[in-house]
Amino acid sequence: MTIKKPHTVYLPLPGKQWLGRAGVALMVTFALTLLMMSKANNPAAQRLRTNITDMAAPVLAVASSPMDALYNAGMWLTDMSQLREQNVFLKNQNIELLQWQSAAKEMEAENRSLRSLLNVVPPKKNSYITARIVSDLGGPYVHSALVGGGSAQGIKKDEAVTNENGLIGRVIDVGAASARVLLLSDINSRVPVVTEHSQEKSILAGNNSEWPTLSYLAVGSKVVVGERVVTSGDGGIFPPGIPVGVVTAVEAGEVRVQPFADAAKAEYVSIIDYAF
Amino acid sequence: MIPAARRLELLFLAALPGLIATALAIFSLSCKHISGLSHFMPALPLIPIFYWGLTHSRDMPYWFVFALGLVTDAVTGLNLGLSSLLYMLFLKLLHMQRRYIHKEGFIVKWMYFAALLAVTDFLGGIAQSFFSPGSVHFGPAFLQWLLTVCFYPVLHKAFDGLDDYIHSRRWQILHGG
Repeated sequence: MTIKKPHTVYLPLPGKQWLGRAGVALMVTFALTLLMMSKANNPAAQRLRTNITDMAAPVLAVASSPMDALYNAGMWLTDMSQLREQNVFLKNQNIELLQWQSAAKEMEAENRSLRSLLNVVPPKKNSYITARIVSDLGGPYVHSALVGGGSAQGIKKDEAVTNENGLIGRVIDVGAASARVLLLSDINSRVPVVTEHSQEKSILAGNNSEWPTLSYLAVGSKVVVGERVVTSGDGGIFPPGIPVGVVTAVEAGEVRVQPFADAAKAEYVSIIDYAF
Repeated sequence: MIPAARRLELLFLAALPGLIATALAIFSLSCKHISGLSHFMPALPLIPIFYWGLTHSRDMPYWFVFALGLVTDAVTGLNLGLSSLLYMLFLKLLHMQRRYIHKEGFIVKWMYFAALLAVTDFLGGIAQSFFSPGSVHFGPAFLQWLLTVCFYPVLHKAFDGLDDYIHSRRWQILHGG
C-alpha cells in the first residue's frame, strides 16, 4: 500500500482576487452596521468608540504637546509685549474690584442673616475635575473635543465643561481614560439658558457656526443686543449661572449668541460635577 | 536568503506609506489652538492614500484605510463607520481608474484627486445631513476641500522623493545592488 504525499494547494490568482473582494465586502458591511448602530446610540458601538479614544488619547496628548508649547510661547510673548498696558489695566481693575469686594462682603453678611432667619437648606457644593484637551475640535460637520481624563478620574456623562471664560460644552461619552465634549456650537448641542437682564428663558441651540442661536423664546421677548446669557439650571444638568455668551444680533426672529469661551484657545478645562 | 535585519527593513519600507498616512492623521486630529481651523482643516491623510493607492496599491490596502477611518470617526465624533466607508470608496474609485491615470502627468493626477475628493466629500455631507437634526452647512466642507487640493502638490512632490528612495532601497535589498 502506498501512502500519497499531501501536496500544497496554491490559490490561483482569481481565488486571491475573490478573497480580496470578499474582505472588502465584509469591511463595507461592518462599516454600514457600525454606522447604523452608532446612529441608534447602540451601547456596543459606544463601547467601541470609547475603547478607541482611550487608546488614541495618550498618543494625541503627546502629539499636541509641541503645539501647546508653541501656543504658550506665543501667549508669553504677547503678555511680555503688553506688560505696561496690562499693569495699568490691572491696577485700575484692582481699585474697582476692591469696591466690589466691600459691597459683596456686606451682601454676604446680610444674606447669611436672612438665610438663618428663614432656615434655608444650604445648597450642595459642586466639585471640579480639571482635564487637558488633547484633540482638535472635530471637523466641518462635528464640533467636539476629546479630553485626557475619563471615568477613572471621576468624569461622568452630561457634566458641564467650562474654562475661566465660561461654558464650553458638555460631556457626551466617557471612557476609562478619555471623554468627549460636545461643544456649544455643534448642531446637536442644546443648553437651557436665561438672559441676565430680561430674564427670558430659552434653549441655546448649536448650528455648526461660531454663533449658536436662542430657540423657543417667548413671543414678544425683550432680548436685546449686548445682553449676557447664562445657564438657567433647568433640567438639572448644568448648574445655574454659568456664563455662556453675549447676544450679538437680534434679527428676523433669530437671536445669535457669541460664546465667551473659545474652546480652540483652551488647553485645560474644568468639568463640573453638579450636586443637583 | 535575506538576513533578518534586511527583512525587517523591507517590512518597514512596505509600512512607510501607511505610517506617513497615520502620522498625518495624528497631526490633523491633534490640538492646534487656532480658532476655527479645526472646522476646515485639510484632509491630509487622503493625500498619501491617493498617492500610494495610485502608484503602489499594495502599500495602501483597504484594511488600513478602513482602520484609519474608524479611528478618525472615533476621535472626531462622527458616526462610527462613516469615514471608513468614504475612505474605502475613495480608494475603490481610484483603483477603478488607476490604469488610465497611472501614466498621466502631475496635473491630471491632481485634477483627479480634486474630483475624487469632491465626490467623497459630497457623499459625506449628504450622509451627515441625513444623520443631523438640522440643516448642514457645506461652507466649511468646501473650504476643507479647497485647502486639501491646495496642499496636494506640496505633499505629492515630497512623496515622489520618498517613493524613489523606497524603491531603490527595496531593489538594493532584493537584488544586492
